[in-house]
Amino acid sequence: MLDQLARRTLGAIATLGVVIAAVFFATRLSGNAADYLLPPGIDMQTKQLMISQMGLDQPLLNQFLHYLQGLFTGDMGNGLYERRPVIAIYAERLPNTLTLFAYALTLAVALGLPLGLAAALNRGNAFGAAIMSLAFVGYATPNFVLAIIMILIFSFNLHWLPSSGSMTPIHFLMPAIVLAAPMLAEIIRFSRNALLDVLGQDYLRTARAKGLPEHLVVGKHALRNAAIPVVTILGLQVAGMVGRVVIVESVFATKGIGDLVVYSAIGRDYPVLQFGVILIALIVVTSSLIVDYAYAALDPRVKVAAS
Amino acid sequence: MTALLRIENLSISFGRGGKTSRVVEGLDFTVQPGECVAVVGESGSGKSVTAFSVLGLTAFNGGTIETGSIKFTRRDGTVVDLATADEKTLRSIRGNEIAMVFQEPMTALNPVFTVGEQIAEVLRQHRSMDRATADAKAIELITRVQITDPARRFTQYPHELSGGMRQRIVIAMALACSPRLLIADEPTTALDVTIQAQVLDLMRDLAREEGMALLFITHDMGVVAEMADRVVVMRKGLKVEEQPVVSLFATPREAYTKALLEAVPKLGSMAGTVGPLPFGADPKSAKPAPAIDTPLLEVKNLSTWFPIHKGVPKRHVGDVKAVDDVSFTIGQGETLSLVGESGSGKSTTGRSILRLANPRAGQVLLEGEDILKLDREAMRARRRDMQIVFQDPYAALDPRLDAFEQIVEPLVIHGIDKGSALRDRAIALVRRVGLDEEHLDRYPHEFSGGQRQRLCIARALSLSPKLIVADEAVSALDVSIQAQVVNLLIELQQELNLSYLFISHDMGVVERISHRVAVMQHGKIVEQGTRSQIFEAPRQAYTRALIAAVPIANPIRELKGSVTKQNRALQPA
Repeated sequence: MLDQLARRTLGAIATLGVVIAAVFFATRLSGNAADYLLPPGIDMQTKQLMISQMGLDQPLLNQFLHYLQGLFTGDMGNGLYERRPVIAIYAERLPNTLTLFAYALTLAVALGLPLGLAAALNRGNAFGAAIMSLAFVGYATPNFVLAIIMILIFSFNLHWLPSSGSMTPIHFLMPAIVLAAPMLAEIIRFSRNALLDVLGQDYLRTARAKGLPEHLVVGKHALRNAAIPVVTILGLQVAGMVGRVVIVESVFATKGIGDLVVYSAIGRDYPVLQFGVILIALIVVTSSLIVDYAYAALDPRVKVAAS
Repeated sequence: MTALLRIENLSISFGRGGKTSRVVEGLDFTVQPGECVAVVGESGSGKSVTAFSVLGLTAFNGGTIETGSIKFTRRDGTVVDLATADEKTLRSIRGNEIAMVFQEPMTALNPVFTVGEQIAEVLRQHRSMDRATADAKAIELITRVQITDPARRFTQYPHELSGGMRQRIVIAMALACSPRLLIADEPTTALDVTIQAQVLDLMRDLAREEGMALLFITHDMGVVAEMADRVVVMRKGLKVEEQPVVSLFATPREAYTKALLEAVPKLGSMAGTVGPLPFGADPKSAKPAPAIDTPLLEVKNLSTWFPIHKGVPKRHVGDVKAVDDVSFTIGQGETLSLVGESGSGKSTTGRSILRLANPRAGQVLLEGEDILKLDREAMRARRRDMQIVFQDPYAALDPRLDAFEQIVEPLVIHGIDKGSALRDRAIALVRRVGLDEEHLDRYPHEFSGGQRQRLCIARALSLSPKLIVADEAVSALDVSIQAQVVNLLIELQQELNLSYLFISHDMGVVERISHRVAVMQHGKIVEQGTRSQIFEAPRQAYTRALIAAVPIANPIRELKGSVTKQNRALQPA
């Protein structure tokens, strides 16, 4: 099992390396930043000066080495627009996004698992059907629609929640709900199906034949087995959340990394964009690594399946 | 004496609304304390459903008890009706006074908990033991079911144990609270024959020591003869007859029981004959073995190894020698049986010959041509001559193709026929295997297990092969169906001059169908010879152990206690 986890960790590091290289070259493919950054009608001499100041006149390989060096020393250069260190820009933005992620994840898991279990145990009656309809609606509603409806109801009509900003925890509530909605729906559906699948297994019959009470049969024997596929979904959902956070952050004006990356991409702000993409890759790779470790903890057979 | 278990007029149905079907109908029987009652029948006879109703698990399986009572005498002498008892009472009986051993040791244990925990949990539940006491008792139980190194086994997970060991763990779990009644639902069907013998011995000894009654569900008459005091024969939910075991075997009253007993392969019943013999045929009608001097298939020094990798990066640390230097020949129209326990390499040998596994060395000569050297195209063409029939007819057919499409697919792939000629050929093929034209439009789930295996055979026959590899082809079938399929194979051989490589762990069937037999152990052929050489004068201890382990369908006690056990002592650990 240690073999397996060591291999996964190495794989994660390699993935990150590939992303780092790909990000650098891909951003260079889209054209020269100077053309977008500098105002039109600027004289050639100033333009050359600006280009060399930004380091864009160096050969590509030199730029790449410089970029790698910066990555290891923590000096990612200055943002081309904001003219201050990239690290400082992200230090301001990242906590907001991470807070949002944490809220959304907690919400989705804390609500999704119990609802999924309830739906499985009430299969065929109205309660189970109601949960599944809710999950379907959550799954099918585009998140910007949900966001706007929520702002209309809770901010404009009821005045309960602030519609934008990221100053206090209460500001994160609506964006977190919108971000969590599709994930919640997915967790409900998957935990229900996983549990239903496990409930039909022979070893549950064995557990009942042993005279165990129902709460142990389901809570102990079924749940741990059902958790295994749900963990997979969690890993995938974290990756999906990274994509959705862009929209959610722009609708609620949360100062996070989502909209920063979008605007830096539009404006060819290479240093900001590169670091943003690397950060996102880091979040995704780390979460799938956590999923792998969680697998190993949940399922003793992981070792066997790998060999 | 009050009966331990008294089942009266029990009817159980499955399904909801208008589509209910009765699977048990008006069943009566009793089990006395310390007695072993066997319930025998084919799949669909309602025997397992009956077993689950005794544990009060009918509802969890989706069934309903319509009528009748299941009266059980508890330790304190009170009698409860398990058919109507509330869940709380049932829970205090399950695992405590009535325990169960299941058919599939692979799936009966929860894969994510250690086996020790799964035993200890029963003790904590019913004996209110604390964790440490329960764990100590669990280790003691693991010792009792004759597993070595119990302290280490306690901490292992089910996937780390062999099938036989898992079944012992399930037995240990069942014995934890010294139940008064142990229900065993086909407990050895999924096990190798030598392991089966050990597990049966173990269960009988433990039952005797504990004074525990056994309710034994099985389709295997050999097992019945070994275990039971009394036998209840069931068919389609009805009790056919009930007799003490000795008189049932000596004078079966009902035609169905007679047919069941007929279908049981009896080891040694073919002594003095040479060729394969259909079930129910006169020994004198057996055909002589064909001349071996025109070999169809020659396998020379075949080896197939599977590499073992370890570490980061993956290093090659060794090989599993699944097939190790194996040589044999099969003549035209001849059946060679490959016997051995699971893991002996017999299936891998079959797959290697068809190049479904990649041999690392050796030659496979089909009519003198080494097929291991053929390129893709040539091999594809050559596959026409060699077909395979698999063990599980449920998994070997595509559930989304109808029978016609399944059967003609090989013909289409090889471009042999098309259009209306396909239909004619398919009709001829299904008739050949004893099915009808109308069956062609049905999907696999509409067939019974035996019919599906006939379809698989028809599919294999479609290319008029010279050799058919039958990999445990009848092992998953009920005994009477098994007899029919074996008879079909023998018939086809005589008609079409087919050669078979018959891979099986079932010595009884092997004796029926073989001209010659090769015994495999740990990837090697340890003994090879004509059927009579192997069955009447086996030279290797391993071969003798395999034969001795077969439950003998003869319930005379002296035989069981002495001879078989002595023979079993010979078998390797």
